[in-house]
Amino acid sequence: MKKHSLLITAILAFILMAGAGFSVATADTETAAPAAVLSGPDTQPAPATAPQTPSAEENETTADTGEIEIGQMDISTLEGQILGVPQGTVQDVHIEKTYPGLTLQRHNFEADMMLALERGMCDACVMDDVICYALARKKPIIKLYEDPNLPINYMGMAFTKDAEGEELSRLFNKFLGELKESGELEEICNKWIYHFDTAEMPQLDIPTEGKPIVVGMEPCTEPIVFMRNQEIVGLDAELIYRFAAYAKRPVRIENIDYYGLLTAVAADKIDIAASGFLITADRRKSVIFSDYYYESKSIIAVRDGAAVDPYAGMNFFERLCVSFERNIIEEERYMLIWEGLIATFCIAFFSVLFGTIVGAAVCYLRMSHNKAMQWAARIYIDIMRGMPILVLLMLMYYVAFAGSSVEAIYVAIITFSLNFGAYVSEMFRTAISSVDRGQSEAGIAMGFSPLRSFCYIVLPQAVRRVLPVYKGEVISLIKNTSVVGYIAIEDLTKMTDLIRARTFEPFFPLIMVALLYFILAWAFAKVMDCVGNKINSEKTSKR
Amino acid sequence: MIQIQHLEKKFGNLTVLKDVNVHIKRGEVISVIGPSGTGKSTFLRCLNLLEQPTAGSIIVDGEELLTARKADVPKLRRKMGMVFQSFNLFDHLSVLENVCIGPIKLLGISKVEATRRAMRLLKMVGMAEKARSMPSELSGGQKQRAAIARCLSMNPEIILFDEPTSALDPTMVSEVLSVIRTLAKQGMTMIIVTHEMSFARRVSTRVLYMDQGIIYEEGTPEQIFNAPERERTRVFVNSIRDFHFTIHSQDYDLFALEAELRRFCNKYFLSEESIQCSLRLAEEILHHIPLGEGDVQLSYRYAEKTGTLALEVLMPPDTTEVLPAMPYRVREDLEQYCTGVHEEAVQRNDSPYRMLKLFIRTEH
Repeated sequence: MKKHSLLITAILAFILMAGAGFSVATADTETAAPAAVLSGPDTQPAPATAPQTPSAEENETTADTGEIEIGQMDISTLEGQILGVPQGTVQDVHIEKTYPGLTLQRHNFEADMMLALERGMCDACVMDDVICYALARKKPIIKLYEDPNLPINYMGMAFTKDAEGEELSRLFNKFLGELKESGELEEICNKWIYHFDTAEMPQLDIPTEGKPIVVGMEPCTEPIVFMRNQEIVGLDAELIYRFAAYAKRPVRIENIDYYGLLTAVAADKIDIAASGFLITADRRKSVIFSDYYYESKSIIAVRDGAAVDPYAGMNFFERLCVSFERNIIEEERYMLIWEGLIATFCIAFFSVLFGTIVGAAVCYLRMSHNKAMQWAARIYIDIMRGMPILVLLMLMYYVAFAGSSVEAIYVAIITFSLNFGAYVSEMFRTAISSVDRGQSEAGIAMGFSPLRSFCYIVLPQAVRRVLPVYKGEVISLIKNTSVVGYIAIEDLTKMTDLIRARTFEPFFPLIMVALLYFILAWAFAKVMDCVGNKINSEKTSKR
Repeated sequence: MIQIQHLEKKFGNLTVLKDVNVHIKRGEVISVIGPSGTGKSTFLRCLNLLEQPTAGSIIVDGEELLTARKADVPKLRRKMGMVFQSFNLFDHLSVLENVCIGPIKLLGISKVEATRRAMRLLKMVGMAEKARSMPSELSGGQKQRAAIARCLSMNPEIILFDEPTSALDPTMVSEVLSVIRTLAKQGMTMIIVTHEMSFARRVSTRVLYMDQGIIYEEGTPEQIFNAPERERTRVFVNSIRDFHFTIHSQDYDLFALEAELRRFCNKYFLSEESIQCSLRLAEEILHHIPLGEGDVQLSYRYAEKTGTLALEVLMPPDTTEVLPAMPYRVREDLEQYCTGVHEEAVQRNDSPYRMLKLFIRTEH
């Protein structure tokens, strides 16, 4: 009975959310405001200029880029408007300093920034030209403009700042120099920038034996590095694979959050960070940059006219089906979600398991008569509870385990176990204290040793009392694992980021993942209910 | 069977047991009585080491308990069952499981055999019907009987009862006491800390009166209840309540005396007439004894058990006999208020005091 009502509630909630999501999407596309700022003479659409068009591919590239017009504009005409910028980039810093009249809206994620632009949450946004073609292709309502006053950026690979990194970067520079010399580099760049959707990775002879080069990437940005058919492809990916073939070393790719990548290189977690990093003086302080392999102009993207609703003319269920097809079935993306689900499940399961053991140990210390042990436990609990889990996770990964070869997923399990242990140890303590002292006394008076008295008499009663709060903590842990994407783990949340980065549709991946988290939490809770019932059932059934 | 010598227990600076010496023989039923806070429960809990005594020795069947290896203590405890004031049934187990857990886990008896024995014990205490109930479903008396069955399941040689009926409704006391009485008849050695005086009197072979951290007086029930030798014992067994008032001079505060007397009498539900009698009597007496030569102590003593109220007037040393000197008319007056008067010389602090004892009429 209870089971069914829960399921029905879940389905209802899902349909409601689905309806709301779609209605918002439609409303936005209907009311999409024309960009009023584009009235100046500068904004006349200019003929397309494809930078660094190689002569060999001239025909093809002009044909392709011809559809995407890049106009000229002065960014100061956007005064008073909300401008989306990728957080912490050169553009972010430059614009904030030079144009204080602009309101900046910082985004972590280019796909989200485009979505914000499309939905009217910002009026324009700034990005590197390397990615703008891919975005504009997907979003025809976006018009692109160039402002010569905006900074030109140089993209390079980041290496660890030590002797090994220096050697590796020298080798990379040599490799890059040869590519530049032969004109191959331009070819590769153009191939990905203008044809990211059809470009193929080259067939390379990369050795499988030997010490691998560990490369951190965030495959969330077309065309630099992204997931296609569960394969990491893109400009940087090709360069890295080519380099591996060149260096005759195997290569291992770590999927790390963009903002964690440079930290990971600096902490010697990975050898190379490759996700279209712009070379800046600040970054040079902590990593070694290779020579640049691409010179990227800043491009302003402005919404122009109504968006084309990809779901026009479909009814609700058709929309649902098409969206499902596009976000989940296409390119077998459900496999990504499945892998993410497995990762999330493993982290949650083992953290609960080890965390409970940690919790029991801390509880023992906390309840011991030894003052020093009590204080140790108390300090541990206070520290663990007083720190955001994300901060703790990054501290563990980038500081405590820096330079060690422990895999990220183990670091996550250790971190969550420590955190979970601190929380549940206090629950255990309250539950044990709540069992009347007379209970264990009666056991001891009967002839049980204090330990056996605890095991047979106090523990079963404490477990029954702690289970409801413990269950809540487990569910909270499952949801908290969604931050592990920061340390190179492809969990459920991270996988939706990867999908969103390709499809530019927030709705289905997010609803899907919300539903999966719900099911996961529900399953864990169900298992614990079974345990709880097993403890109680013998009693109740006898009556 | 159990020899206890110079047992002492301190909680920090507080000495609860000063020097307890007692020898318990097999088959004895010993009642421990005494005012609250005199260490009766602590004494019991020291016997099975639920509290670690600070000094002394406990010898059980020739084995010294206090110096025994830690591992042997649980084994020695099995010889001594304990029944608690708060029952302490294991809340997570049914009545039957409560009775089975010890034999199964500690004596290594098979589940089937343990269940069979448990049912026999539960039948004995009249709880067979409730074998599958949880402790939370039972009344206080039922819980305590189940606890006794649990205690018996370990085949103890002696059972320590720690105020087994104190937490019970008056209606349930008797069912528990009958079970204990049955055990006594079967020859079980028992030590019972109790406030049920009539029960202690009927069931026990020996009574220990504990007070001030020692065994103050011990003897057969007849000795302790009918002819206690020592003052505190007498006060206790007769449930005597008293109230003192000191007169310093002729100009004593009669209204203060009245107020305090009224409070005392109201506390023990004495009638208005008794209060009036007590007050008049004090006034009359104080009028006829010499005041100002030292303090005069008035003590009202009320024996709850017999319902008698007495006024003791303690006069300063070297007072001459007052009763013969009183005019006949006054003595006749006194008889309106009391059933008997007598005067005696008493020794207090090595001085010869004189005491007048008057038994006040409480029924009119």
